[in-house]
Amino acid sequence: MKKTVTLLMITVLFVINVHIALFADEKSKIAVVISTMNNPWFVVLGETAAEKARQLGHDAFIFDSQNDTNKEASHFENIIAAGFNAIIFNPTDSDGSIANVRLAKNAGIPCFCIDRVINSTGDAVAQIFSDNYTGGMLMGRYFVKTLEKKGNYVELLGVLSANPTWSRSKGFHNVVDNYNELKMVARQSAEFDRNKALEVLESILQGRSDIDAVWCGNDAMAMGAYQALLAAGLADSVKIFGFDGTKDVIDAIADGKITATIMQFPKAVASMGVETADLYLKGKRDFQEKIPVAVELVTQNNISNYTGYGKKE
Amino acid sequence: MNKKLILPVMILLITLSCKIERLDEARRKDTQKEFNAADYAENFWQTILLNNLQKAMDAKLLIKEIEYNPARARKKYAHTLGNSSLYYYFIRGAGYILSIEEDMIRISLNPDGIEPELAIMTSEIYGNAIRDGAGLLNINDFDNIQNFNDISNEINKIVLEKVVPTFKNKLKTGDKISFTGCAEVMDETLDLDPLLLVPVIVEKM
Repeated sequence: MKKTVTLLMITVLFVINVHIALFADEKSKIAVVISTMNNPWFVVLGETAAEKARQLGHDAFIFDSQNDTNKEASHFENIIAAGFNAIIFNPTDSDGSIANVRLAKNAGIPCFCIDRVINSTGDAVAQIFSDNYTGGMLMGRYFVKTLEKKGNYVELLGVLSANPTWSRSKGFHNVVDNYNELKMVARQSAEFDRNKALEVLESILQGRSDIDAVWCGNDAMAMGAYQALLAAGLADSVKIFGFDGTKDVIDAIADGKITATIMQFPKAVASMGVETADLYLKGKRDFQEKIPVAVELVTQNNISNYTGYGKKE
Repeated sequence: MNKKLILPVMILLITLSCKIERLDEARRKDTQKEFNAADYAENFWQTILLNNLQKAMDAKLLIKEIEYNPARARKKYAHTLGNSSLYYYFIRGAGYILSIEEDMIRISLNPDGIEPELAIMTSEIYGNAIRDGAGLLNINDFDNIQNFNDISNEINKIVLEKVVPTFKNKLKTGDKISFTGCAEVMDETLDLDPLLLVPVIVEKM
């Protein structure tokens, strides 16, 4: 019996040693789950995260949720089944995506939210996001100043279930709504989408053309709004305000087509998310969970400092 | 009752007594129902902020530190939320009114001062100066950051509706006042000289 036990122990130790020797150099697998890759801003976010993960010595794979919580859930099931080590997560829905983070957490896979947050504390290891509320407020201040405290405006909202949509809008309205002569004559969601923004604004313009400004919750919608105003012959008289800092809008501000945007820094947000995940995989555990990242107002006065998705080097 | 009818009647009763709703919608409504930002802000103001005014930094000392080395002053005394370029000071002190304007009261900390070191804001108060500047609220205590943002707006309402009216029309140039408040610094070339203070308490001395 003793011999059998000893043999068994030796065998177990041998298997463990072989396993360690074989897998000691194995790279960690990091999944980068992005809400949609059908928007250049998120493409930059996702690709920067994947590239950063590879630079830090991990394998990285991008999953596109196509703004669909069901697809996102399916990605999480596959990621868990495939034994990924960490998830860099750009959630589709601030509430609907919580279940996916919990599923991963229960499977022992840490999640690091980037750009968008989930409405929960203690499920993701860290949530690194643009300070959208302050961005909305900065834009609100500039909007009031530019319109000299009076005029009619349209608001194009993003995806209604996404936290940034409301953070930006609330920050903006907490300033602008204090001025009685600034009147919001229409407000509709264009789901952060350029084509939808074009359609929505075209339809609004059929009803009224006495508009002085369009405030858009992201730059893709700002470009759609510009196309609609151009087609209606109003591009020179209506001011457009965006949010993101995409390359086309930075160029459009330089050309005088768009008045201002809020620069988010997707590369910085993505890199911070991956660096946090890397530290976690190396054993660090004490992280501040919710980390807002600064945003900046970009106008024709300071456009020379900026390029698409960030500051000039 | 005809036995054949029992099942369809039961299904009909169950269907009529249920309301089917998307889970994320129901969750969102629950979150919105639970949190009252106005109540939270009022409670924060009365029970936390007013009981921690001694944590505010002496204005004279702070301004001396800023003049000497703004970066060091920021590192030592400022509050910042996350990885933000904005920062805030929680300040208290006494000063003399140099001028009363539509949206601010300019003050000097010295009786014979000519240039204002501080301006107390009395209108157009936006932003997160008190929420983030006092260093008494933690974003990680909030599941939904919308709630955390709403608190800021409600705090600003308290300042405009309850604090400013206690002093705005009762002061005149030359008066000596005591003050406590928070200053936001977004642009160091504009916001340090003078510091723009969102008031918590202002009293004539």
